[in-house]
This record gives sequence, structure tokens and C-alpha cells, in this order.
Amino acid sequence: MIARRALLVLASLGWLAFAATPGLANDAEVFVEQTANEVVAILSDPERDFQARYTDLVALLEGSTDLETVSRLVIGKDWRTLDESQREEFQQSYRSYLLDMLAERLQVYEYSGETIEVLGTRESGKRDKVVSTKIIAANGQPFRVDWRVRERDEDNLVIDVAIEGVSLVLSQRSEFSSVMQRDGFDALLEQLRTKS
Amino acid sequence: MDLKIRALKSGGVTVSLGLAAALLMAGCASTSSPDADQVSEVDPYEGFNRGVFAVNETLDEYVFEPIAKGYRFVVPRPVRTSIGNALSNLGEPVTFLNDSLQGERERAGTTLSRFFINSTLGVAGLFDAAGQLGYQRHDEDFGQTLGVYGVDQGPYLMLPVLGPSTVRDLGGTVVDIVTDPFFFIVGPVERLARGVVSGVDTREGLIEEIDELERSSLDPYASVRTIYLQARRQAVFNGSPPVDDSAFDEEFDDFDEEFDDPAFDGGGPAGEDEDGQGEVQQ
Repeated sequence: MIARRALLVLASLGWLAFAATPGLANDAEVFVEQTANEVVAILSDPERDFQARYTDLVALLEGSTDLETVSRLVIGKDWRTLDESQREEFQQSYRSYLLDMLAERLQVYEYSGETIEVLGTRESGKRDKVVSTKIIAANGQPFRVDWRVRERDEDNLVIDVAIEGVSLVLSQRSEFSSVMQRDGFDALLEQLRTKS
Repeated sequence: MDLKIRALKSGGVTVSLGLAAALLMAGCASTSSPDADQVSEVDPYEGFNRGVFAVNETLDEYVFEPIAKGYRFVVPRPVRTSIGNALSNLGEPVTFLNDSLQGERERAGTTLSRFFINSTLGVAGLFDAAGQLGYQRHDEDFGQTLGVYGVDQGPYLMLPVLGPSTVRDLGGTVVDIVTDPFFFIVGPVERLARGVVSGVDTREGLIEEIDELERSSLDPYASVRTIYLQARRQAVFNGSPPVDDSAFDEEFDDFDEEFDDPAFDGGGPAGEDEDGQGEVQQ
């Protein structure tokens, strides 16, 4: 149970498990390991209340993930069909949707001694590195989380998280494109906003 | 996520052959009049499947979810854990068979050890003594075995009550039932009891996940479909499927012009990553 709850939270916190770490920008694995520890530090700190945790995690998210790229990836090939203002609108709505999901999950989350262990890294596609990690909870089955890291302006940034092989980007792409195909882009925006 | 899929799948153990066959027929019958707008490669019966999904959601809201929450409220956690352990233990023979069919000797050995340790030391499976001794549990089923043999998953199916599946996995479920020794050595009452308990246990374990899905997903049907298909792919390849990175290569990305050139594709995504699957050892 506890592992499963942790998994839920980490699914959303996944976006945050990294902070840009100056000087280590080219080593995805070290980047993952060191910055994941920052997430643990924030989550396990009894001094920080919900608001403090949320603020700190959002700051981490901003510094460690490439939300612009993620926004394109979750739309997929339909990105080409959107004009500039639609893209901006989507990026904004998507961002607040993500932050809202984070806040919601953080509210019910309790740190239960999770630690992270780096298993290895592989090159992937044209320019990504995928760092595999194992999340070990105090009790409950460990589970695998893979972090897709892409360099941008010489910084490592996270662009996807896969939990036991289920990718957040691919899942959301499937979800969003289903909404777009059935009801159109405006409906997608509208629904994202309703959920936020 | 293995948990989720086990949960999504495990209800299948209880379905009768007749029902399974009927569902398969129903699935096939709907091919004759596919809605042109909704036909896709993985989910040609989407219209039909969405109908079933809506019925399942209603059933869940009024029947399964309240029962699951009642079960959690009334039965203390250690007891629930033991019930889950016992159900898992009953599933080990089928896992062992499929480990063996897939030529996974080490995993077959683990499963066999688990079954004997937990059936004895673990008091008829109530305690996961084998897990404590380092024999971690895993699932195999005939749908995965077919996948390992290269059988295509076929169309996606949303089954009444039982949830997501594919033509391949539904066939696998039927084989799982007839290859389960416990299916034959007990009477219909015990079989039904196991099915009901298994269903309640499964749904109880999914309370948070399903709540979360309903809160955050814009299209729960599409979310369940993609999660199921991705997780099954992982399960078939025991966590290291051949990598398909093309999904992240952004052919649609118009501000990385140079990547639009096919020359940058190298041998294509599959070729680029042929050494990727063995690297990460669990």
C-alpha cells in the first residue's frame, strides 16, 4: 500500500526530482542522483509545512524540467497544426494543470523513508539519456523510475518520467490526443483549465 | 505499475470460459460496423469499448468501489495483506508454468521456491516468508508468454467488469484459467469465493489510483488504455522492452530543423538503441 501511495505521489513529483546542478550539467547520472536527494530533503524535512514544501518543489521543477519541450511532446505531431497563440495558451494551461496535480498529491502525501538508487544510464534516440533508478520505500515493493534527460543550453533537463515503464509523456499524449480528436483543441484547453 | 496491471488482470482468473468466449465474440461482432472516425490501429473497437467502459464505471461507482472501501474500513491491514498474499500464492503455479514456457529458468526457480516456502513456512500463503528470504514475487501469465513468442497483442478490448485487455491477453486469460490447478481441485463455491475475494482485494488496492485517475485525467478511457498497453509491454519483456525512441524524436518539432532531416536518424530509432535493453539490470 505504502509503495503504491508513494508511487502515486512520485508520479507527479517525478517532474521535480531534479534540480539544475551547476558544474555537473553533462553527467546525467550524477545529476539525477544528487538532485533526487534534494527532493527527498524537501519531502522528509519535518520543519517544512505543506506550503513550504510546495514552494520549494515548484522551484525545483522550474529549474530541472524543460516544460516547453514537455508541452510539445505531450501534444505530439499535432503541435505543427497549432499557431503561436494556441501553443502559448496550451503551455500555460498545461503548466498550471501540472502544478495543481502536484499540490493536490502533496497534500495527502506523507514521507515514508523513500530512497533512490541509480541503476544505470543509456543513450536514447538522437540526444537523450535515460537514467534508470529504483525507488525503495521503507516497506513495500521497490519500483523502477526512468528519467529521460535532454540537454538544453548545456543544462540537463528532465523531459519525461516513466514509472515501471509507463511514461507520463506518452500517457498524456494519448490522453490529450484522444480529447483533441474527439472534441478539438479548444475542448482540450477548456478541460485542462477545469481540472486545474 | 506492475501492481496496477496485476490488479487490472487478476480479475481475469475468475471469469468462466463461457463468459470469456462470449466477450470475445462480442468484440469480434463489433468489427462489422466500425465507426470510421474512431478506428485506430490499436483500438479498432473504440466505440464499443467506450460503451463497456461507461457501464464499468457505473458499476464501479455503485457496487465495486463501495464494497472495496467497506472492506478496507472493516478489515484490518494485516489481515488484508495476508488475504492478498494467499491469493498471490494461489497464482504461483500459473506463474511457474509461464516462467517455464518462456525459458526463464531462474525466475521459474524463484516462483517454485516461493510457492513451497509460502505454502509451508508462510502458513498456506498467508505470509510472504519467501519475500523475506529474498525471493521477490513477479507475475507471468499466458498473455505474456504469447507476447514473448511474438504474438501480436491484437485489438484492445475493454471487458465488462474485468477491465482492459487485448485479444491476445484475453486468450491468455482463458489459458490461465484452464492451466490453474486450483481451478480444478475445488468446487464451484470455492471458485466463486476466490473470484469474489480476489475482485475485492484488487479493487481495494486500486482505490487511490482510480480516484486519482478520475480527478486528473481528461479522458479516463484513453488513460486506462495507454497505461494498460504500456505496462503490458513492460511485463512481456520483464521490464526491458526493445526501445522505441521515435516517440521522443519530435519529427513534429519545427524549431529543431536539423532533426527533420532523415539523415540524422541514423539507422532509425530501433537500430540506434539495440544495446539499450540489456544495460539496466534490476
